[in-house]
Amino acid sequence: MSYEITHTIDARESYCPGPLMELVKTIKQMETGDVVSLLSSDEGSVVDIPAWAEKANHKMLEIKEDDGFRRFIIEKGEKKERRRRRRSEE
Amino acid sequence: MSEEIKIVVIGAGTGGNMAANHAFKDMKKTKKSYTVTIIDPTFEHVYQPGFLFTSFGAKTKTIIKDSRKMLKKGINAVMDKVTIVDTENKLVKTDKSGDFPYDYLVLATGARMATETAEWWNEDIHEFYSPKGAEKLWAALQKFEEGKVVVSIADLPYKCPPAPVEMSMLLDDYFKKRGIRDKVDIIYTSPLNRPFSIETTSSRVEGYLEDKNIDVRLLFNTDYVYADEEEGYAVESMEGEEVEYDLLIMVPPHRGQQFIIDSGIAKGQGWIPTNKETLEVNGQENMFALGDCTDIPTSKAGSTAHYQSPVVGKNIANKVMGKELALYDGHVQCFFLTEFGKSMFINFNYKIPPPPTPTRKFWWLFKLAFKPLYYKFLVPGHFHKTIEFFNIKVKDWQNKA
Ligand SMILES: Cc1cc2nc3c(=O)[nH]c(=O)nc-3n(C[C@H](O)[C@H](O)[C@H](O)COP(=O)(O)OP(=O)(O)OC[C@H]3O[C@@H](n4cnc5c(N)ncnc54)[C@H](O)[C@@H]3O)c2cc1C
Repeated sequence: MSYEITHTIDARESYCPGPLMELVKTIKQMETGDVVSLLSSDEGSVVDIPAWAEKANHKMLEIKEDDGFRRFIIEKGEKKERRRRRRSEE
Repeated sequence: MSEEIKIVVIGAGTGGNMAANHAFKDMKKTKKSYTVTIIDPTFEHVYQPGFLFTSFGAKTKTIIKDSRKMLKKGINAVMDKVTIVDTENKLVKTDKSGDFPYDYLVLATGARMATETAEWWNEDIHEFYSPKGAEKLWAALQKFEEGKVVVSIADLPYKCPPAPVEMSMLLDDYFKKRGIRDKVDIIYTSPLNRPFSIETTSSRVEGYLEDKNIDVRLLFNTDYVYADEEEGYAVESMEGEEVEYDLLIMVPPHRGQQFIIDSGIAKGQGWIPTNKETLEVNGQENMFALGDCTDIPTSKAGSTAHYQSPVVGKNIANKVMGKELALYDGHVQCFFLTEFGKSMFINFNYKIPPPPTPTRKFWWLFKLAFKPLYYKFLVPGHFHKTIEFFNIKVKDWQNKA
């Protein structure tokens, strides 16, 4: 798979606020199409990260197993339209 | 380096006060001549965990103290605002008091409540992250008779991750005591797919929220707040969901201090890039950071600053003596209130999460006893060794089980 990583987060050994919060924080500051690589040693991330990516319209490109941690590669998707904007366009 | 070693600390909140006291003490070991100067615009030390009490009627004056009284004798306190750090010439510039040269610099500038960064923020949104905000919330709660109360989070990161969940549970208790709980819906929005970030603690919290009939909306990251007759009153998430409110309580957006960005020490939101173990500021010489101002992926909590402060003190002395640097292991300890009268206690570090221990009256009483302990011993650094002896260590409960 070819992609260019534009942002990296090392959230290993982070329980609180944890890898997903680090990811949301970073993605908010990224542009659509940017790709972030997130390292997490938290077991829960395998469920949390893809679940949030799907709900928030981002693309889960890859999950790689490494020595004691996982690497998640996510592409920022189009921002969901706000209700006010949706309405004014109708 | 000049003859006299100059240590300058910026910010006299939890982290700055404690680090200044530790550095002052630890530098004695170097047998060199030194000065410690701490700069803060007000020296009004706010015990921020108290906002959860002032939001429910406790008096603000009980949580603000003059932090100069908690500094060791011999530390110079300068009441002024730092405007810029000239890192090349190692100078701290202030608004009115001139320049302060440093050999070692400690940044403990906390987080700034940056409501101006949310274009939708308005005066009717309540918050409990400032003395005034908590007082205003208390006034509003007393008038609230029925409807939907939403507790939400404007942006990430924010300090004290348990605080909005605690607020939701205390609201339940408050409305129960007033006998109107059946007329009030409490909704808590969580940025994650569980109510609290740490899984072991969250499993307990989930049960408490359910028992208290608090409606939890998961994977909800605030994007916009509607607040007019035409569009209605609702919070919309990045994930495309909405919750309506009659009273909205938001954790405000947080940012680092502007002068840190202007000095070229941090970028973006202004969080200082910091080595999570040595607490040195990345890319800078003889500079340390602790507490809420860093970019370390851990809780922005007073307890974090507390456990980081001896590492900063030691490391300044160690650098002077050419010794190996001490490492911060990520230790954080927090109370987690579940009602007026009961609290959980979470204790963890980088490697070990907290065990899923239940809420207890004991921890509530400990929480009440903590404030005087904090002002009298922890911040001034009295009996540090004794307190460390009684300190509740992080136990590897997972491997033991
Ligand atoms: C509602 C709430 C509940 C909380 N509960 C808990 C809890 O139960 N347990 C816990 O551990 N933590 C809790 N916290 C978090 C805790 O209060 C903070 O994490 C802690 O105060 C951080 O310390 P600090 O030194 O980094 O920052 P602060 O204590 O905020 O101090 C920063 C200092 O920097 C100074 N400063 C800023 N800019 C400048 C400048 N330009 N020049 C000079 N000085 C400057 C400020 O004046 C301030 O004095 C809570 C916070 C809130 C809001």
